[in-house]
Amino acid sequence: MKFEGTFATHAGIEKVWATFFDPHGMEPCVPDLELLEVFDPMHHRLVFKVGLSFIKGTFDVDVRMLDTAMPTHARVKAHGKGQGSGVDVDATIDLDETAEGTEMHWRADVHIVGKLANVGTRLLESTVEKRLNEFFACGRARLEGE
Amino acid sequence: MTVEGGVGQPIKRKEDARFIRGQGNYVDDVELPGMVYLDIVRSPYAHARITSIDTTEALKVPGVLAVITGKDLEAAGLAWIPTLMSDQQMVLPVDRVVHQSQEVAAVVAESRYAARDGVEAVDVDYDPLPVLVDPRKALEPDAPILRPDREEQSNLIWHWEAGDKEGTKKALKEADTVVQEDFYIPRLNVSSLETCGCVAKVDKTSGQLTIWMTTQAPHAIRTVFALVTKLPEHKIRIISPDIGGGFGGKVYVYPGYVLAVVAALSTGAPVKWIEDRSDNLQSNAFGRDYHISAEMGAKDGKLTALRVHTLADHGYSDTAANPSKFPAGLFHIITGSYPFESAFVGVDGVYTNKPPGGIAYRCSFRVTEAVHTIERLVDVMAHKLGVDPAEFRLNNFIQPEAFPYKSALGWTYDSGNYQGALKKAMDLIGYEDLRREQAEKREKGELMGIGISSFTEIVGAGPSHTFDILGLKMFDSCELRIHPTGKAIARFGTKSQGQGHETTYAQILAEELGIPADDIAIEEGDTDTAPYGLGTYASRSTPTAGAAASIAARKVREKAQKIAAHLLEVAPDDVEWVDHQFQVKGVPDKAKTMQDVAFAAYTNFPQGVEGGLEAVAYYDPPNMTYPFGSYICVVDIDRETGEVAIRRFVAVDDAGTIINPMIVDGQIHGGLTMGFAAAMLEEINYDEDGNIQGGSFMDYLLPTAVETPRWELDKTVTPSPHHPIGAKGVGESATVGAPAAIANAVVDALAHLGVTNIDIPITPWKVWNVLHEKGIS
Repeated sequence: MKFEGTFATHAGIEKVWATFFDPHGMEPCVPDLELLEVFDPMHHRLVFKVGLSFIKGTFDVDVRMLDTAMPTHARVKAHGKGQGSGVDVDATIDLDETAEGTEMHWRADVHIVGKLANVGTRLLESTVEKRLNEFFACGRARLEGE
Repeated sequence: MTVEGGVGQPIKRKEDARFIRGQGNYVDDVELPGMVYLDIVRSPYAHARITSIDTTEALKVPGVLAVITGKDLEAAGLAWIPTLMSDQQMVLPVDRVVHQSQEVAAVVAESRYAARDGVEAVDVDYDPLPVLVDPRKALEPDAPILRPDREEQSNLIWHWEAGDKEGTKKALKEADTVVQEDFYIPRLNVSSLETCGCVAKVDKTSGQLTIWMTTQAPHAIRTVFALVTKLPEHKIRIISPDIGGGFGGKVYVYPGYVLAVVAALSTGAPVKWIEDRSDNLQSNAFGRDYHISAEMGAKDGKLTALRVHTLADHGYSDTAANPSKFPAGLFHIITGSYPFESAFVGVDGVYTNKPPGGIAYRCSFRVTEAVHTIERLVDVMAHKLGVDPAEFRLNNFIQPEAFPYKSALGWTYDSGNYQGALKKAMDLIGYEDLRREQAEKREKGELMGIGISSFTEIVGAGPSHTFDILGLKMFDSCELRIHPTGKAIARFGTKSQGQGHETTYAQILAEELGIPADDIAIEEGDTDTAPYGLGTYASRSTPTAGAAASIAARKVREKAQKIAAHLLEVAPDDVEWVDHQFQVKGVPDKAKTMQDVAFAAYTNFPQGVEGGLEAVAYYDPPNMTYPFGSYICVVDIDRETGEVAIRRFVAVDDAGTIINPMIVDGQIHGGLTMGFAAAMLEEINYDEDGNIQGGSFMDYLLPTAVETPRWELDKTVTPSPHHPIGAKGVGESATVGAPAAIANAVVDALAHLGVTNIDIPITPWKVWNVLHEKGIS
C-alpha cells in the first residue's frame, strides 16, 4: 500500500523537525503505547497495542532514521511484528519552509503481511488512513497548541 | 419379491440416527487420558528467509511442554516428506518459508489455550524474499527459483500432454469456424464443516501408533506413514471416525498430522491437533487454480477440433492426489459429450508462493475444469455460428448407438444418452417458451439468459492397468461376513464423509443377499479391521467398493448355494437364486432364504464344505464409469447493479442404476449448491505480497439457504454395462456440471452485446463492469 500526504502547520521548520523526529517528540501521539526504547537518536523501538477486526494485541516496531538532512529531509524505515503479522514501512519526508510556516510532504510504502493483511483486508487501508490522520492531528496539536 | 431396503428404494439414511442427534463421533470428540494439544506457528510472509526462531519465551508459558522446529525435524529426517505426486513437501521449514500461513513451528501444551499462548510467544525473524503469485511470472526466465531442492532449476513442475498435436493443428486449420477463449478457474477452498485434525497416540509398551485422523484414505495414509517414519505398518493403526465433509481436501497428508505424531513420540502423551477455520482457509490443500486457453474448430456446423493449453498453479508443492500417470488428473475428459475428430491438451504444472494442493475438489481429478471449458466453449461456438446452444448440442452429441465410444483423447466411454438427458431437461424447463420470452425481453432491454451444461463425468478410478497412486493400484474392497442368525457385517476400504455408505452399501448387499438393509452393518475407516482400499474421493466408492460389495455377496451366494442344496436335499446345480432366495429349479415352493442358509452354515453344513459364510472381494474395475447430465439455468440480470438472479435451474442427471434415489437427490442438491458457490461467490486470490484475500468467512463467501436457488431435479437411467449392478457414481456430477450452466446463462443474457466470457465467480461487480463497458448500466 502506498500512502502520501502533505501536512501544513504554522510552526517553524526547526520545531516541526524536533517534534516529529525526536523519538520522544511524538510519544503522546502513538495510541496505546506500552514501551518506547531509544537506542540512539536514529534508532528506537515502539511497543503498542493494535486492534483490527478481531485481531487485538501488541505490535513491536523497530524504527530507524536514514539519510537525514536536518531539518529538510528524512527517510524512515520501520519493521514491526506481532499477532501473526509483519509490517514494513519505508517513508520519505521532505520539509519546506513557507510563508505560513512549514509544509511536510511525505510518502510511505507500507507492506503488511500475515493476519492483519488477510483477515482485515477490507478494513486495512481505511484503518491505516484513520491512524495516520489521528497521528498528524495530534502532531498539529502539539505544534500549535502550545 | 422385493427385499426390504434393496436397490432403488429411498430408505432413510442409517447413519442419520446419530448425526441428527449430535451423536456423531468426530476426531475432536476423541478424548484420551493425559492428552496434550498441539498448535502451529504460521508464517506471515509468503516468501522469506528465516533468520531466527527463538522459543525461549514460549517455553516459559505455563503449560507449554515443547516447541518443535524445522531443525528438530531435520535431525530426524522429517523436515521434508514425499507427497502423493512424487514431489516433496515441508513438514516444517528449516531456513525458508514459501507461502503465507506455512507451518513454521509447533507448540505442544497441556491445554489448547496454553498451546495458542505458546504460539504467540514464539519469536521468528524473517528476511523477506521476492514473491511469485502469478504462474505466468513464475515461468519467466529471471523468476526466482522457488524449489532449489529439485534437480530441475525451474518453477515448471511438469509438462503433460495428451492427444494428437499435429492432427489437431491441421483440423483447426481446415475448420470453417474457430473460436478461442481464455478461462480462469479460481483457487477454491473446500470448506468442509469439519476442519482437519488428528489425535496421535503411541503405546510405549507395544510401540503401537494409533492415529485418529480426518482422512478420506486411511489405508493409503498408513502406508505413507510407514514409509516416512520407518515404523512397521502393522504397528500403525489409522482410524477415520465420522468425517464432516471431505471433498478431496482430506486426502492430503497435512504437516499437522506428522507434527502430532512427532509430538506423541517425543512427549509420550497422546497429542491432539485440530485446525481452526482460518488455518483451514489459509493453508489447506486447494482446488482448481487453472489458467486455461482453449481453441475449438467446427466445419459445416459440426465440432471437429479442440486444442487446450493450461497453466496449473500448484503453489509451492504438488500435493494433489492424482493417479500417477496423470499429473493433470483426468483433465483430458475435456472433449466432453462431443465426438471431436482430433484434440490435443497440454498442461504445465507451476510452482508459486501459495499453499500447495491441486486436489480434486468434489470432482474426479480436474473434471470440473474440463467441463467448464468445453461447455463454455460450445456455447461460444454456438453463438458465433448463430445456432441455438441446445440445437447445437443436439446436432453434435455423441450418438447413443456409438457407445462404447472412444474419445479423441483416449477414453472409452461406457454408455450414454446425451440427447435423452438434454431433451428431458428442455421439456421440464419449457425451453422453447423461455427462448421466446428472452427475445421479447431483449426487445424491451431486459437481460435474461438461458444456460446449458451437458456434461460428461469420468469417475470410478480405477482400472489397475492405468490407475495407481504412488504405485498402489486403485482397486477397492469389501469383506463380508454373514452371522448365524442371518444378519451381516461388511467392511470396506473406502471411507464415507457424508455420502451415506452405511445405507447404500447395505442396500447393494440387501439386493444381492435377500437380507434386509437394516440387518447389515457397514464399517469403514479402521485400518486394523477394514480390508485394504484406496479410500473415498473422485466418486469412486460406488464404482469400486460398491462393485466389490456385489462381488463379495455373489461369492457368498456361490457357497450358500451348496448349503441350500444340502438343506433342500438336491444337487447344487438344481438350485437357483430367484426372488432373493434359493429355490429348486422349477419348484418355487421348495426354497430356502439366505437366513436359513446362514444358520445352517454354522450348524448344519454338508461334508466337504467349510463352515461359516463370508467372502472378500478386491474389485479391479475393467473401465471407468461415465455419468452425465444436462443442466439448464435461467437468469435475470439487473442492468443497474449487475446482480444475477437465478430464476430456475433444472438438473437431469444420469448416474446409471440408482441405489437410493433420496440419497442421490441429496448428493445432487449438495453438489449443485457447491457448483453455484463456485460460479457466483467463491475465490481465493492473493495480493502482490502473497497475502491471501479470502482468509476468513468474512471474505470467502459461502452460500446459505437464503442465497441458494431452488433446484428442480430429474433423472434418466443408462446403466454402466461393466458395473455389476450398472451404477456409475453421482457424488460429484452436480459440482462438475453446475458452474458452466450458470456462466452460460449469464453470458447468454449478454451475448447480443458481444460478451463471450465472464470468469467465475460471476460477482455483481464483474457484471456491472461489463454492463458499464457496454454502455448499459
